[in-house]
Amino acid sequence: MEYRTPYKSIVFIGKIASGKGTQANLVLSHFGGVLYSNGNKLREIAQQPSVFGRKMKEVYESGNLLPEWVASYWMTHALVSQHADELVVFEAVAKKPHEAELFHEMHEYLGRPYIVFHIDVSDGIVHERSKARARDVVDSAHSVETRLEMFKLHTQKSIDFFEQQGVLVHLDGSKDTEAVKAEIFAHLMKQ
Amino acid sequence: MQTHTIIFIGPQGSGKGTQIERLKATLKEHDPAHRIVDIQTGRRFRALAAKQEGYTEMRVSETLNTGILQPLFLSVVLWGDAFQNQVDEECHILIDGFPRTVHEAHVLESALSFYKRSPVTVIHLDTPEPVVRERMVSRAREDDTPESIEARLAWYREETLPVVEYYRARPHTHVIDIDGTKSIDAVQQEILKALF
Repeated sequence: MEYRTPYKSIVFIGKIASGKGTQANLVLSHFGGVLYSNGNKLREIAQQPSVFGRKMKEVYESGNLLPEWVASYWMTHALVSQHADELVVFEAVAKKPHEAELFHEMHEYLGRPYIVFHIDVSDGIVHERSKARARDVVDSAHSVETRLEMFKLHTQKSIDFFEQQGVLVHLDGSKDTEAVKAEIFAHLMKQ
Repeated sequence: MQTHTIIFIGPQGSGKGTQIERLKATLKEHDPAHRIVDIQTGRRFRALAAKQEGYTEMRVSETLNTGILQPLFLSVVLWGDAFQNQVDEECHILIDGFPRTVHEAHVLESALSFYKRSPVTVIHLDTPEPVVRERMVSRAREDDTPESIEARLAWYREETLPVVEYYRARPHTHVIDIDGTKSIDAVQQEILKALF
């Protein structure tokens, strides 16, 4: 890989369509590591014919956040059993404050330094971008509204928690992809 | 028969494991139509520690002998696995070893409501500390040192007993207090009387 970073976990947090996925992939292609995305995992599980899969499909289509035990379980499993020694890039994780606390506790226990990037965009940009990409049912106007509400109700508290831990970097997500990327890379390579 | 969600709460050495085995046998006999999912995190922790493979297994193994409560996130990964892969709305669930804190009880709430598990029964095996000490000394498991026994008792008193109170206040929840000093048979009889 062309670049190295002292962090073992890199977290992207932000509203829907804030560019988390794009930036996560850019980091992966230059720093290596594996992607952990609750969103991808949820989309994959929602296809399964099991009881659990069927119920997760309902969660996905409603635009609600993952039940806390599922979010906690998946995240822990990834860190403890799957990628214990690897660089992990997290997209869409710690959306609720309890999960953020858990994430922090786990990293302290496992001795993994981490950094959180909050990509900040206005609600107006969110509506514009999700309308333009229309990936699937979750990009509908109603679902976008639900997600924005969830963000304000829960995820903002996670952001505050990470800020208190001194691990948070705010980024202006209205800038173009290259400008945001440059800021992220500069933080990752800071010694 | 309605499906049961039963949480056993009691200090180590209160006989939870034995009673779960007996209750499983009774349920199997009286209600063969429903599966029984038995989730015991203590056993799963010991299995994890015994692997001695990765960093996490080593940390679990280290802390097992000190009596320090394993971190909440490790407990969640152990029972979360069982909930994702074995639980549905139609099985009986027998729980032992969690929730160990009120916070963990909150996390478990999201799983109980996800699977529409209601009502919930809590079997509280009320066992005084001197009895627990005596039993733990006599069973002499490898992770039972005098220090670890005291540390676990303190954890139980401070962190887990409030969980019993949490369930007393919870709607659609039946807390059964049972005197854990009685014989195995007598405790079993009380459990069956309360459940069926």
